[in-house]
Amino acid sequence: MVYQPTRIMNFAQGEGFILGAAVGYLALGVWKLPLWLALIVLILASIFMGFIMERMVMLPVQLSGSKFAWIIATLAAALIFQSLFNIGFIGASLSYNEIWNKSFEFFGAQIAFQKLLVFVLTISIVITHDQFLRRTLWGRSIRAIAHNPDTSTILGIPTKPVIKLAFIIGTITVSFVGFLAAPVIIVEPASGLFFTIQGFTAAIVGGVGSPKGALAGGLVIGILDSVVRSTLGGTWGLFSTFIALALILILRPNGFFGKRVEGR
Amino acid sequence: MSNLRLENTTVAYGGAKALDALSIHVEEGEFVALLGANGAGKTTTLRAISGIVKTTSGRMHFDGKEITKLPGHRRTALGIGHVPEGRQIFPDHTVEENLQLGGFTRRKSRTHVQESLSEMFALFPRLQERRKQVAGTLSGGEAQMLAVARALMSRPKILMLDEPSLGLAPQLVLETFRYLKKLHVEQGLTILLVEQQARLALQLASRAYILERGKVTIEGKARDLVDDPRVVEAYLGISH
Amino acid sequence: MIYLFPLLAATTNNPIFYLQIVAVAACSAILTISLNICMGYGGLLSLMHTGMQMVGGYTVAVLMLKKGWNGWLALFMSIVVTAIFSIAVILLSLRATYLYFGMITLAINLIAMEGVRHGGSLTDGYNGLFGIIPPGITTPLMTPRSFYIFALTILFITYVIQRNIMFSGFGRNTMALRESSETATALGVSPNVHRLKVFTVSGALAGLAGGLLTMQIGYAQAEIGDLNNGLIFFVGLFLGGVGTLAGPIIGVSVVAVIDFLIRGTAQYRSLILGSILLLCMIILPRGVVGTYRASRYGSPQARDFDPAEAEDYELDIEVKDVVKDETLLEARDITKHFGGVHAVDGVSIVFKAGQVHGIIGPNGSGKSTLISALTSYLPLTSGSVDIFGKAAPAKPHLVARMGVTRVFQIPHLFDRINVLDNVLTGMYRQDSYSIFDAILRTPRYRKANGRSVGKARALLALAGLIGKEELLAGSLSHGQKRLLEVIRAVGTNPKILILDEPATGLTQEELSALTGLINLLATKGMCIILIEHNVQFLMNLAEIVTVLQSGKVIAQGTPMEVQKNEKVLDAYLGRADFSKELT
Repeated sequence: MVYQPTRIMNFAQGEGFILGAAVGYLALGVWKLPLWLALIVLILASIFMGFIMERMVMLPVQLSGSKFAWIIATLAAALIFQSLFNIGFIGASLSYNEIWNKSFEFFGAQIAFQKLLVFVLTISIVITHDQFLRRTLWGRSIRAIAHNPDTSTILGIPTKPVIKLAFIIGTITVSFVGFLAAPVIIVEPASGLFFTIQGFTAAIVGGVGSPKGALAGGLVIGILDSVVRSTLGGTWGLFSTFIALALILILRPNGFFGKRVEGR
Repeated sequence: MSNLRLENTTVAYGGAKALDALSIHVEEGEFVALLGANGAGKTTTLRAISGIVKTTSGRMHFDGKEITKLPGHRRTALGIGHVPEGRQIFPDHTVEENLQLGGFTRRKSRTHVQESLSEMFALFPRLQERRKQVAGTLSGGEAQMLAVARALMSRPKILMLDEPSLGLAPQLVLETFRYLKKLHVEQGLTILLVEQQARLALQLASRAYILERGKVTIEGKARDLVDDPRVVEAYLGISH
Repeated sequence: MIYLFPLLAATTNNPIFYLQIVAVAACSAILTISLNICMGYGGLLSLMHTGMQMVGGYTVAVLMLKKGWNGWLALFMSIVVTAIFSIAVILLSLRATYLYFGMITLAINLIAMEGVRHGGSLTDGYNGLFGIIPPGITTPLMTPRSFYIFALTILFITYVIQRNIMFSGFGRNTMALRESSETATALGVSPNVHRLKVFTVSGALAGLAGGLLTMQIGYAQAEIGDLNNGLIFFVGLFLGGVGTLAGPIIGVSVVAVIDFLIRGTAQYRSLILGSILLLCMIILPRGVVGTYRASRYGSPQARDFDPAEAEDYELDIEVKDVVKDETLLEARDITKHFGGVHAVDGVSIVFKAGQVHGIIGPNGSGKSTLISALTSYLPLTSGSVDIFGKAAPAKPHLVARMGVTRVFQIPHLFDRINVLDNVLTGMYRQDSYSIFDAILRTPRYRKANGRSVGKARALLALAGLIGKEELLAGSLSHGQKRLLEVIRAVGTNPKILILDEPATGLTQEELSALTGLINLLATKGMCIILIEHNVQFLMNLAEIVTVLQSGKVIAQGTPMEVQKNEKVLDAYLGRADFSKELT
């Protein structure tokens, strides 16, 4: 989402995931707020974080002239947020009680309701995201700016606010997923970079620039990870993810569904 | 009052002056041509007016207001429409979506946008046929039409076009210039046309400027310039 | 000063502590220098330098602890292993663009980390290897004090290596590569080969840094390769100034001091350093050293010179092995299609020695595409090109090496180095020294360099730029930059010189200088292909002019013939019959 208008790969994106988990932890686990209130807190926090992140990344990028600017800026942003989370939640593992406690049988395997929820909601989020980009005026403007910022300006599309919007929406999306997933997988305050890399891998495997691809990529990586873990043992799972990333980059840089990324 | 006025506008890139104290003006309802060889600064002029290129000195006025420091997207809202060089349509969006993006500045009123859309389709029936088609698959002539229609969606008071004939087959060039004439005559649209093909532009325009190296070297009524040998010299130099 | 520090440290109650801090900082500095070579000078994004540091460290650890090797040999091997590793990475990623290359290095870094964790008994898995003590020179084991001196010595050597490489032909080519592949290719440098060399040198140094670090801290662990640690190096690099010599050292020093000051509050380290990095990028985008050099105090000045001095520089331009009017480049019915667009549509054209051949045509007529097709920057759709009687090679840098030099429309100068170095960039191919000569500054290097410098000065005299050698190229006026680029191209000893709109933005005086230069080159036998829109300029120079429209040749002849040609007038001004139809 952030990639579209800015051609920037945001290393700090994963921190949004942590934000979601953190809010879930605080709102539901510690403060015991009702769900609807927790969601409002989540959205507000995400907007705030998205806004700050945009300034943290775009300011240096515009002022520097170096082509490394955005990588370094996003890495720095990742560092900063990560340490903030670390400081704020020292030692805690951000898990909290599941929203739905039940599980049910499905073809003989136990499936926790929460996991199903995560799966279903993630797909809905991706679909919503895709529809937003394709059908709404603002979504189309984001794509237009990605393709040609000058022409967009000529047509009267204000590029700076739209980029801010893209960052904010990206953060909301990611934090929502983190909110949902926290009870199901282990989330630690410092693991933002880990999720970012998973996200990158999924995006690259599936093809950058295509939400369908990201979804497919995510599924591929997730399945690969699980399979490897169960056959070879837990620690190899990570290994296989990274090898997949390297292989795809070398052999099929466009992923399976992606559009070509222009060289910079 | 849609007059456009540039006073002593200079655009400099690291030592080189793309525009050198340029002063031109376009009055409401006029059809003015901006001519000159490649590299003379014609495209830069339009880009400076649209705000995507920063000027280093000089002032610009439009419609009585000073726009020198106004950000680009606001100038569109004021009524400056621009069909850029090479058309620059959005290839991944459909024809209709391209047009809707063109109407961005008027998005608050859906009826207005719908009206403009219908108008454009009436003006360019071929676009209506292809309204759901992805813009990247259009032919050159259709893309040119789309670019013009898209710019018109914002109901500009002045329409600036940058070399619309570029890359088009001669027949299509004629067609393009024909509907430009129609727009000017029937709708009273103010037009600033940048063209390399001077003869054609001079047939349509009432007034013209010839640019050389960022400066105006010749200006005058179009019909006077048609036979002026200085125009040829601007492109091909002086024959000894 | 280096020797004073231990004495100072001795006054504290834990002198070894301070010595170790500096020693570790020295290792960081070496790593940052290697990152500087790779990213700052080479323009390659690398996220695996911490990984290579780890690999170097593990090499030393494994060899010393598990195989009982001597420490010195182990250190040497750390360089070798990471060099091989770097070569492998580049070979795997030849096709990758800038961003993807960065992602590949990220993946490799992660793989390497996981790799050592799963290395079984060789690497002791997650625990890492402990208990490495550096060998001494005279004693069996090195004392912290000696190591401190050792580390700083290596740092010094690394700095000298960086300096010597970067200020040689190799370094200039590296910077060419950073600016754009096109520039490098036009100067005859193969981008892939050069990338390989740069990355390998950088990687080897990173391995050395890692080996040293492991010796200092006594252990090797996967965490050394963690990207979080890498960020710290980026802070140092950017704070000091990317692409500068002293930048890495200054940056690392500042980071080390900050680190020391906040040592009590370790959890805030990332926060503080990350914020500093962002602030730095906003306030001092070029880093400390870069900003200084760009300011009035730090930047070099032009020197006064005596105009008569210009005559001292005799320029010996020799265009070898050509006969006047010999056909040097011939294109036979070439076409270049992009999908449905016929950018070049059946062009046959001949370029002869000693001739100034102009190419004109309205916008979009295919002039630049034609040139790219003639010089193999673009593959032909059909037809053939012969250069010096032989079929044109498929790779553009080989075409350049044959003696066809191209100057592009947009200036491709190295703004951040001085004028003289810019001119020298073109001459590396003719130099007869290797990278090792450059590092060691052997007599062979000195002689070759001296010759090149002399020739460069002569060329500068021709362009009227004598006295400005020390100025940064970025501070020249536009016209001077264009001239500089032309003489840089002349310095490559071409037989065919292609100039794409050289006259844009030149003052009258500069135009005269350029005209004089072109005429001189033509009399010496060089073939000059000139694309221009400034027709006045062209018509005075060109012997023969070819006119293109829509990818086809519509006219060819002397300037006067072309100016009067009806088809040419139609092409530029629009068809006369059409304009009648409009009224």
